[in-house]
Amino acid sequence: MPGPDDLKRYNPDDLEPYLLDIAGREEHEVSSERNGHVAEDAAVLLKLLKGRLSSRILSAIERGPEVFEPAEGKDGSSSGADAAVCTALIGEGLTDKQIRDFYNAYPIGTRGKYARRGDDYLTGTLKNAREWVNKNGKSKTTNDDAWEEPVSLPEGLPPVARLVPSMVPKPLRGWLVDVSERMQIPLDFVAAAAIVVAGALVGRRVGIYPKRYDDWLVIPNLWGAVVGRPSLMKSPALAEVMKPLSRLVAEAYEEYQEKKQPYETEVMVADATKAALRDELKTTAKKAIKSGDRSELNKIARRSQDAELPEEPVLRRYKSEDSTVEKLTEILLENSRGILIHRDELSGWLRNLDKQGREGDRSFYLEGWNGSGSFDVDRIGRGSLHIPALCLSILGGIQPGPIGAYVYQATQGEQGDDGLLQRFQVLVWPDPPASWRNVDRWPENDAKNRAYKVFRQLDALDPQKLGASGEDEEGVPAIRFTDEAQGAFDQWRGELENRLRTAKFPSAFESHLAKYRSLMPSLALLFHLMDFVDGTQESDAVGLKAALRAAAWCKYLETHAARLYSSAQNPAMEAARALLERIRKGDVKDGSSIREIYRKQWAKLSSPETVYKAAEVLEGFGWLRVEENKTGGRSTKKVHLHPTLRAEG
Amino acid sequence: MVLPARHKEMYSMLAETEAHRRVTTARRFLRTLYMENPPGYMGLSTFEASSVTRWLPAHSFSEAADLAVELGEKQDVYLNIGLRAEDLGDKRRGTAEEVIALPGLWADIDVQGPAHKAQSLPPTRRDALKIIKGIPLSPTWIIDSGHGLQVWWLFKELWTFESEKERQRAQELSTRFQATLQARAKEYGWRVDGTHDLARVLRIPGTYNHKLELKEVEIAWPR
Repeated sequence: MPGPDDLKRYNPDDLEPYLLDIAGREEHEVSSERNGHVAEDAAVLLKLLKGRLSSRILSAIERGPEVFEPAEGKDGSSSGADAAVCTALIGEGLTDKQIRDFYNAYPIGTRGKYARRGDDYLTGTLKNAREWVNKNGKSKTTNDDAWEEPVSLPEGLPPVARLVPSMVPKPLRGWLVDVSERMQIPLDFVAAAAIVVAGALVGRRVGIYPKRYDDWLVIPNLWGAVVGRPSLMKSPALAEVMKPLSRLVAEAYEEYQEKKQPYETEVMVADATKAALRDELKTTAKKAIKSGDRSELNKIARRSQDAELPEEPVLRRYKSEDSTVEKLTEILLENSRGILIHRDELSGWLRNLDKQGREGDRSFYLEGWNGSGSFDVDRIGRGSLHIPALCLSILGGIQPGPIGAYVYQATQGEQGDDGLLQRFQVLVWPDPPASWRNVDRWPENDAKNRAYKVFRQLDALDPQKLGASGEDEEGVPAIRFTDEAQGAFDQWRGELENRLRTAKFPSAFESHLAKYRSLMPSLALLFHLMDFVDGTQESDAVGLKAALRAAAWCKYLETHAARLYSSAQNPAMEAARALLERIRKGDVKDGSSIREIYRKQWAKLSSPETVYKAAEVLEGFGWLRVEENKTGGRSTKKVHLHPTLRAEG
Repeated sequence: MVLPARHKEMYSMLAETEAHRRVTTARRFLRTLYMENPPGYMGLSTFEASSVTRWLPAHSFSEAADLAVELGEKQDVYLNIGLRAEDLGDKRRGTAEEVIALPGLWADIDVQGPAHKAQSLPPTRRDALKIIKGIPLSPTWIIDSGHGLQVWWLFKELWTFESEKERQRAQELSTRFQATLQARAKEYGWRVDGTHDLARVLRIPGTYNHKLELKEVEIAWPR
């Protein structure tokens, strides 16, 4: 819905000239004492119609039928002038009463046939003209150069559902609501991010079988993004949610260091032992050659083989912020549970993947979304690596502009139309908060500690305690829904599948929604696990509460996805909207050149190319015409505005 | 599926996001209609069993939107366009003479269909738009009321009557406005009900029209 300031509004006096006078409605004659009022009304009306009527119609009204210039082959008599004028005015939506006012106020009537023949004549002319318009539509005589009615530009972004606090899992709710209030950021940002982080922590440790008996397994790693203007504090929001993860990172590093030191000592001892044994072996071998007794030699050789290096400690990796695929491969070989890739600004990451020669990287990420597959990486000159379990979660922020351009590309069958975008299932694009207030208070530590503990316990999750079985061939322990939750999931899935089969969605959006098949069970599992580690849920299966919360999230996220895909306008369309807005504000005058417009450096209109493309779009929708003039080899492009825009200006 | 009581709240959560969107629509509509700090009271009327009107301070847009959407879940709910000086109680809607402020002028055009079978009505919404063109100034909103159009031409500011004479002038303007639209409809051989009364009620976007199947009252233009 446009904002209140964008809507048309009027003074009561603006409307009055167009209204029938009740007393005079039934009788068409205009009394002489009202002529002054009529003239005033007609003058106001004519002023408003000036941009819409052709010059020959205007001239006939203002100067009389004798100056009327008929169109080729048409009647140029006084009757012809009246017919043309009445047809044009009816085409503009005027009532008989209003047209009669013109005839009483202007030379078209006062010096024409109407003055001589009276109202019956005009009544007949109006009747014929109205019949003609009803039959043939609006007369072309109303347009200077046959301007068509401009067509509204396609809608802007659709509305999205707001995230109500009750949708946030209770163990995290207090913390996230507190953070969003203190930082004055949308709750959507931190809640979506927290869910992705939780999914990354669980990773391949536990999965869910969404069907009652089937072996279809869903791993709850998720891809998420927060979309908003730079001022909306996306990065600080993400940083706040990453804090519990950063604590785990720090602890993992400490633990690694603790294990690493004794390990290195053991390695030194093992190396020295092996070296000593090798020396001893040499000496013994010389003696054995002389004596022919190899028994001692074999003993030393066996001792040397037994002196194995100790097992190297592994650094538990939770996240990576800027790693190459090769580096990620190495990390994943040691961290089979999966890893979170966190990028403050996702547009750079997306752009990198679009570069030629990065197709292998794209495949790597696309496969990593599933969380359940393996992947082979060929390394030039260093052989290939096999990752038995490729599980990636992704989280980052992005601005509306870049994501709009990317979506456009990804929905036009260009590079990028491979489902990468559709994998960002936990993408939120909330409306910016209407107002800001200064909130300066202590953080709610109890809520924060409770949430941090949930993250810690998700990391330390013991699938056996959860009752997860490892029925999957790859050995990922998994749980199922309870009976009642299964009923809810089946019903939800049925509705989704039926909707997907209606073919009413654009293909990119349909493909996005199709991935909800795994999103819903993923979310349900995560919500269940949060309650489980928080001690508020004991069941070894995902219950109805978690399933319904997940369904609510899918519904909520769908509105955000709809906003995402509707942003896939050609960037020129965005520029066209900006240009039309400027024209309506009166910032762009009729006859302005493209150069004059882009030199204003308005948002979305800061280069000659974008302004020209915007003008081209508006031309296509009938709002203006672009005219090219060549003077001395140099061409100037100017915009000529639709008469209605000129009148608005 | 029969649910344990403890899970009912979760089902309501499913509907909550959708309801929120409709409440937002209704709130924005009311705020735009009456603008900042309107005087007096606005009334939300229902006519299900008997006529009941809830009066709220005219500036309480959020409360009114919540109430409108909540009431509108089960019945048709209407807004009394003109504001009143006081809470008139549940049983009274008040008369045109008690209206103290007006946000604009309006048209309520029924369209032929299952809910309105009269042949004298415009056959389609597109035809109904032809009637609107009787007022050459572009309307502020065209609202699809479910089985017709409700069209608004809002004033630049809320017209708060400072005298009885001023109120009478508004009544006259409204009457002439409706007469103009009726005359326009007549030119096409159609009929439009006169809705010039300042105590008139219209539907609120975000609520439902319950005639026949459930239809949301939506702002059709501008979107």
